[in-house]
Amino acid sequence: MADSLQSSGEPIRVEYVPRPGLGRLAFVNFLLNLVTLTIYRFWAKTNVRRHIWSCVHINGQPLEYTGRGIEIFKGALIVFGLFVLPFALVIAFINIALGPEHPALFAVYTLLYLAIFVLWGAALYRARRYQLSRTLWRGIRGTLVGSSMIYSLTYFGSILARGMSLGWTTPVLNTVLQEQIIGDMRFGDLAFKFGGRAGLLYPTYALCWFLSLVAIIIFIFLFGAEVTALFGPEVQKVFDEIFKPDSHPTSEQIWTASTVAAVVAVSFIAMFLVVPMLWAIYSAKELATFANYTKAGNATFKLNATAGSLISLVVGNLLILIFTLGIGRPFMQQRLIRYMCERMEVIGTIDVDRIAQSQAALDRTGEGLADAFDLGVI
Amino acid sequence: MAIEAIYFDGETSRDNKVLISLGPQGLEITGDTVSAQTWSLPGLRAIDPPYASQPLRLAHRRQPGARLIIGDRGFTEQLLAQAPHLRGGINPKRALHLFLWIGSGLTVLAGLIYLTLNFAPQKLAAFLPDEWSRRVGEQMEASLVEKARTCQSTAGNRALTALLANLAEGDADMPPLRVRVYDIPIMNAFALPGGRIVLTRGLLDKAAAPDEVAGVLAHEIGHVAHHHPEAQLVRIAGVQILLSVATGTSGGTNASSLAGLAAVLKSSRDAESEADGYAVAMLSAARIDPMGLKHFFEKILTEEGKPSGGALSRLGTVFSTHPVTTERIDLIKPLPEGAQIKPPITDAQWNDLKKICGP
Repeated sequence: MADSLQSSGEPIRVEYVPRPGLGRLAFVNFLLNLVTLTIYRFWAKTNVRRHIWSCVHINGQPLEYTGRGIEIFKGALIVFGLFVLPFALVIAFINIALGPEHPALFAVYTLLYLAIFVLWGAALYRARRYQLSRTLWRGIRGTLVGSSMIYSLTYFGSILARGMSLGWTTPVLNTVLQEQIIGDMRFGDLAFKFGGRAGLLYPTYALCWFLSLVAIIIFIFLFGAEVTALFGPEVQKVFDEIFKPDSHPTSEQIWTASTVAAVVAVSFIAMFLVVPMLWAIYSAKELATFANYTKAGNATFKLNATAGSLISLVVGNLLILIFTLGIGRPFMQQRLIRYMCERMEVIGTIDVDRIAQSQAALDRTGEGLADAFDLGVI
Repeated sequence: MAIEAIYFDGETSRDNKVLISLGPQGLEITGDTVSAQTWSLPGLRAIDPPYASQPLRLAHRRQPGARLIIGDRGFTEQLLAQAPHLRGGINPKRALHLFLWIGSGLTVLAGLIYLTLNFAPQKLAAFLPDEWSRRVGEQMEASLVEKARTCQSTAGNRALTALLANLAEGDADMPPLRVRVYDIPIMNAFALPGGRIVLTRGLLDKAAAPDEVAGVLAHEIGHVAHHHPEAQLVRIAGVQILLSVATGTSGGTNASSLAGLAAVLKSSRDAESEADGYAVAMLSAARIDPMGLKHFFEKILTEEGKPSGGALSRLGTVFSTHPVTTERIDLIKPLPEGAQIKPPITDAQWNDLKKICGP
């Protein structure tokens, strides 16, 4: 008793303690998804989360995922009935009654994309709220207490502002969005707080912005040089020959053509790899800064994110995706969670014994919009 | 023999130290900060399957929020022996629920697929207002022929009208038609909603006799008379809705148009033989030699081996989704011996028609 009067709470330690069985889970999920024409995906997702959650230990106690496949299945059905089906029916009707070239079709598609943009933030927010409310630690669950529509409007506004400012408002907008969602976050009656200025992010943002501008200019220049070098009159002739109907190109011509195609493809791929890698510098800075700005109880957070480690996380996941043909997706999620666990530190203390259960009502279904939009939520 | 364990009550995050033991009623729990309770063994649920290096975590049906964490290996083994369902494996009740949900989902889906592909389109097609078919047919024709020139000449048009008039003798109820020839080198003919029929220059070039063009026209008129183009329209729209049912999205236009085509393929076989039947009946009644159609089909069969390329491959698919087969050809029989046959148009008219796209 004297102990708890002195210091309120105890230090927090997060670790990832792997357990076997994820590979088997991934394979069984894959088979059942196949057999059920992907309807099983809701249960598959749930099983994977249950496994991964149970590997996250905070002060020795694991997290528990209490969601059910049926809940997100019903969530998807509701969104399907209220959102997907009406649009599909209207589009089919216009196709049949007014024709595939009728302007009404364009109007409906515009409306559809607008609705997706406007609801995107709500989909993110609700998916997060569902997951938090299904996450138990020491018998206590989390939640988001705010309004998903307010978040969604902010999110929609942020998309517009980002575009209009050529990206330069990104640090401010991301900070605002993060402040909204973290400010709404509760674990039982323990509130999370987020406070800090976006200004700290600007030097890194400017660096990445100009670096990628330079990279794009270099690539355009290189690409132009390549094209003139490679598409000289000689090569042009070869291409003309190959694409002629009833042509019988020689193996030498095919070789020239495929070399040219390969060089062009490689430089394109290089550009699409280099620019995101540059932006990893900013992402790392943002992750670390946002962790710093986050408070819960007497504790703040620290996330040791670096550009190099983020790149190897993303590239590794990409390789898993490609080489397992998507079957290994659970391992991608595991790597992400593991990354967060291993690089997160909690500084200060939280009174882990005195958190009271959350009084927020539980959603009965979840993630419908997130499923419809195919958001990459874990 | 009481063992120490940890109890979370689901109200606060405090870890209550409790003593547990196995009694006749089940798992007995006592502690200073927890009201004494007994958890019956059948009601127990393991949060995660037991795993050697980690404590066993339990919940109970009667107290869904509470959790009991047992670290003692020996006690855990004893408990698992008495309540083997905690070892994990498939929970039959949950598996049944899952099976029922997914099974009924798949059944509804299969029913919808059957309805969309095989049943509804032909039934709905007859009810589509003419205004709709006319509008859609016009747009489809424009997008299919792209920038191709319409072939017209006074003499050629007259020949075409004469050919249609002669065919009309074969069916008193022949639907109103709008036949156009386009300056497209690939051999093709197709019927579109609203009684539109498109012929290509390639088809006229390849045809050796007016009987052949008459046969192809009769076949396309068969499609129009049976509302096949309208049915196809309904079918493709249905497939698009089905795809959004299956994937849960409204997007995916590329995939849906591909799958739409694949779906159309199956049912259009029936449509093709229906149109063949109509054509043979029409030609016979109009006393035009049905062997022309047969010859033309044989031509298509030999053409099919060759690759079609370029922008016109889109048009090429019309024949390739409705493959001409030897069975279809074999079903076309000559008119009985002694039946009077007349040419569908005069030789002069045939010449005019052949030159409709210019010399």
